[in-house]
Amino acid sequence: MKERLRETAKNFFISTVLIIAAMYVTGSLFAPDQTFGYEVMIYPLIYGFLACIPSFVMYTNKELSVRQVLIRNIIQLIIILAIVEAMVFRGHISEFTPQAVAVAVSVVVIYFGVLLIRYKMDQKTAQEMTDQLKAFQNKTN
Amino acid sequence: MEIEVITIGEDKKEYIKIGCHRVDSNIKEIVRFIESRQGKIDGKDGDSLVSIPVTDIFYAESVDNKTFIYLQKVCYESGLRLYELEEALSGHSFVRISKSVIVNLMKVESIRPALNGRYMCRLMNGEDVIISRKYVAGVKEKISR
Repeated sequence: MKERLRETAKNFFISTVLIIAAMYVTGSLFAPDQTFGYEVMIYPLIYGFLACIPSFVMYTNKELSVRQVLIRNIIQLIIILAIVEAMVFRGHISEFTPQAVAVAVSVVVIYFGVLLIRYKMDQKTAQEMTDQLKAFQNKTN
Repeated sequence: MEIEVITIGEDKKEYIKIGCHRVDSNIKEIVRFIESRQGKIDGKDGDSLVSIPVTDIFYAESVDNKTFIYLQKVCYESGLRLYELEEALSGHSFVRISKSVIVNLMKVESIRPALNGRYMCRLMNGEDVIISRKYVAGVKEKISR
């Protein structure tokens, strides 16, 4: 459970930052003159939280194959798309097609952005581990 | 069983002698333990018994309740369970990297990320073995000592 929470927390913070960036870009394109109150600041946190629910629920300690990981990622992305579109348009997607597409594109970009950032973080950790391993091998030899 | 430890002169070769009524599984286990401390592990190549130098082992894997020891090019079956092998090799540079694999860190060439928070060990013989998320912290601890 601790590992699951830690992984979800990382995803949450990365998602939230990327959601803020996506809201800025899509907002500038579709409603540049729109003004908001303070309540808008809570939305990235809510969307970030909702986007983390599928990966939290579907988290497993089992050793998954590459194929299983990819299938899980696709399912998670579809669920997140459904959740976010439902939240943003509250069942009126047909009236806002360009915006709905923009939101969907944003969700996909954010989803893969999170995966890419996590991979880059893992790459850095792997490099640190390799360096430590070399030092360990030299010391043991 | 009485245990007697005596100090002998530097000019004499050190030895361990076990006096027993019969060589049963307990005695075999003690012998295996002593051999592992001396840097050797028993493996089976078909019906014949092979003494494997610990430094030659790349990794050990448990498959269908059997334990296999992998060297650079050959593989032997071990009579030990993986956790027993892990215990026997605990004084050496071995670490558990997943539920079914222990790896010799001296035979790891590099570590790179795999999918889903796991890492991949590239061994010096070109093989890849996965480090599960659960065991990453243990590996980090072992190599940072």
